[in-house]
Amino acid sequence: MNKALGWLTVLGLLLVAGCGGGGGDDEAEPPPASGFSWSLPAGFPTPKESADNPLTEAKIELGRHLFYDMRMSVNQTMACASCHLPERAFTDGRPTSIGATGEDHPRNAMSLTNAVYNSTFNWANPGLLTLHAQALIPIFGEFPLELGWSDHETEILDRFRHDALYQKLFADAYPGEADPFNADRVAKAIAAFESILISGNSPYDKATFQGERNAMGPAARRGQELFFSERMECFHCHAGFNFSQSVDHAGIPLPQTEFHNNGLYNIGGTGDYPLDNRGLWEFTQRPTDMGRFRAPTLRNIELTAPYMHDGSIATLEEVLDHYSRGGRLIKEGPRAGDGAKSPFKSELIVGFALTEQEKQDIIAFFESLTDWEFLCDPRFIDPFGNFPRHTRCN
Amino acid sequence: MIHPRSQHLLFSIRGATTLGVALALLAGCGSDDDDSANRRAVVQFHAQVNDRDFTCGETYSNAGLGQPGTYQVNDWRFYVHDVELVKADGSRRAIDLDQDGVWQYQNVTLLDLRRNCGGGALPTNAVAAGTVPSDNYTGVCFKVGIPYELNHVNDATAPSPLNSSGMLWNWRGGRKFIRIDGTGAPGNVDRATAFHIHLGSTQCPGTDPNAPPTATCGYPNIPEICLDNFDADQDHIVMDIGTALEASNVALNTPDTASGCMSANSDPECIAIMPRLNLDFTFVAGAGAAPEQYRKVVPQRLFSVDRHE
Repeated sequence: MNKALGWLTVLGLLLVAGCGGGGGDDEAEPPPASGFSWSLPAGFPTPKESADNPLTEAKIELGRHLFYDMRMSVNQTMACASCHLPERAFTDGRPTSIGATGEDHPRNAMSLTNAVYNSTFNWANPGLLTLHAQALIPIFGEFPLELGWSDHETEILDRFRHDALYQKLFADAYPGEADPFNADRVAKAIAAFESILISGNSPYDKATFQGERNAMGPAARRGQELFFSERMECFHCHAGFNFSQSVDHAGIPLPQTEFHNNGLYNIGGTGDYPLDNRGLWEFTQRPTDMGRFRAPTLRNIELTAPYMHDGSIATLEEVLDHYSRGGRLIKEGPRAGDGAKSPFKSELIVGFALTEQEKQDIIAFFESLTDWEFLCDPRFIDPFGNFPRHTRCN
Repeated sequence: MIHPRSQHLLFSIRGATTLGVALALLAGCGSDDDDSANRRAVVQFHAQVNDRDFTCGETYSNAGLGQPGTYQVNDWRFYVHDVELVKADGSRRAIDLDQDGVWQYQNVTLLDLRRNCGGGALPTNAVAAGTVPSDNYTGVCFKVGIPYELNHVNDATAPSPLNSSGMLWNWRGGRKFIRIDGTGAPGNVDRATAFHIHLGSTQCPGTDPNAPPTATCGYPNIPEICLDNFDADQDHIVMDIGTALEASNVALNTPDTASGCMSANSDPECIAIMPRLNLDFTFVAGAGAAPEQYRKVVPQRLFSVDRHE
C-alpha cells in the first residue's frame, strides 16, 4: 500500500466518523445480522436484538424447555413458569410472589407479554437493559431467594449436563461450544424464548392494525375514547403500540425510560413508601424518585390481576377507583397516609369522575386488549405438561 | 460509506496536506452541495422560567398571577420544523437539517431541554442543526410542532424522533408539540396543583383515537415564530415558560379539565395560555355555548433572542 492510499484510509475513517453521525454517538448500532425471522403482528416494529444474544430457533427451543423445567430451582419445586403462568398471561395471580423455598418476594410477578419491547426490566431497575441480564436475577437472587442457584450452580447445571435431551438442545443452541452448560447460556436461552412472547392480535389490534373494525364492540370503543381522553390521562404513561411509554425496539435510538409515582402510598405525609418497595429511589436515593415504578404494558391486563408493583389492588375496577381518586388513602396502620397528596406523585395523576357505565366501558376496552392467539400460541406450550394454557385454548 | 463525490475529491488532491484535506472534507459534511455556497447553521435553544435557567425540581417564584406563584417544571420537550434563517430583505432560507437518525427527521427536530430530570443522565438536545446557503442573515423563523403529514403516523413504525414515547398523544391527535409538565405551589400539601402546557392539534376529525384523522385537524395549533436580530453563531433562542404563564394562576385548575392547558378548546386554562403562543384560540365552554374567540397576543410570549455570552 502506498503512502497516499494509507492517508486515504485514515481520511476515509475521518469522513465516516465526521459525517452522518450527527451526535448520535454509539446509540444507533445496526441490528445483529443473526438473520432471525420474527413473526410479528401487523403494524408492530422489529424488536431490538441484543448484540450478544442473537436469536436462533434452537436457542428459543432450549429456552422454552428451561423456562418450564422444575429442575431450574434448587429444590426442583418451581420453574420460571411458576411465577409466569401461561394461563395468566405469564403472571402468577398472587399479590406478591413466593420463591422456591417459600420466601416472600416484595413484588408482584410482571407479565412477560411483549417483554422484548421494554426499555428497562423489573419494576424499577434503570440498569437492567437486556432480557438475559434480567433472567439472571431470579436465577441467582438470594434476598429473597427465588430459584436459588447461588452456591448450587454446579449442582443445578449438572442436571442438564447429564440429560440426553438437554445435551442435544444445548448443542443445537450453542453450536461449536465445548461447554455451554453455564448460567450465562441458560439466561440467554430463556431470554430468547421470552423475546418471542409477542402479543399483537387482540381485538384492539384487529380493529386498529388489521382492518377489522368490528373486532371491538361499542362498549370497548367508548372505553377507548375515554382511555385516550385528557380527562383520564391514562395514555400519558400507557401510550403507544405497547401501552407503555417505557418502550424500545430497533427503530428507537434514544432510551425511552420512564418511571412514575402513581400515588399508592404517602406514609406519614412525607411521600414515603414501604421500606421494601421504594421503586427507583432504591437505585438513586433522589427524593423525587421515591415510589417511581415502570408503567407496564396493559396488554392482556384482564388476566394479570392483582395489580401494581406490590399487587395491592385486586381488580381492574379498583384500579380505576384508585386513579379516579388521584391516589390511595390508607386511613390507619403503619402505612397510613393519603397517596393523592404525596409530594412525589406524578403530576399527570389528577383524578377524575366516572359514571358506572363509563367504568364498564373502560373495562371493556381493557378486555379488548386480551389476545387469545397469543395466549393459545402453540409455540409457547410447556413441553413437560406441567403448566397448562388457559382453559379457553382447549 | 464514502460518498462517490468525496472519493473523487480524495483522489484529485493527493498532494494536499492531510489537515487541509480533512478540513475540506469536514466542510462538506451534511450537505449535498460540494461547493462553498453553504455553511453550517446551528440554532440553539435555551429553557428559562422568568429569566432563570431551567432545572428539574427547582422551585421558581413569581410564576403567573396569584399566590404563592411558585412553580416547578419536570419535563421540557418540544418539536420544531421548517427552521429558516431570514435575510435583511425578509427572504428566508430553510436550514437543511442533518438527518442524524436520532433528533432530526426530514424538516423536524425534537428539542429535549430536560436537565436533572429522571433517574439517570438523559440524552438531551438543544439544537436544530444543518446547513444553509452562505449569506448574511438577520433573523430566524420556525414552526412549533410537527407538520400534519408526519404528525399522525403510527408510533410503532415511525422514525426517530417521531417515535419518542413521552411525546405521544394518541394516533388521531398526533404528538404533543410542546410538553412542559409542571406543578404550581409545589410542596404545599393543600394547594399543590399539576399545571402543564401540552400543545398539540385539536379537533382532528375521526371516530377512532387509534387511527389517523380523516382530514386535517380543525385547530392544527402549529405556531410560527419569527425573531429578529438573530445571529445563529452568537445568539440562542430562549424559551421562557414564565412569560407564557404571565396571565395564569398556576395553583388553580378548573375541576374536571386537563391539568393546566392541554390545548383543549373547552379548557378555561387555555384562554390565558394559547394566545400567548402566537395562536388564535377558540373557547367553547360546553354543549350549546357560543364559541368565544381569543386573538393571539402580539408579540408572542414564549420565545425571544438572547445573545450568548
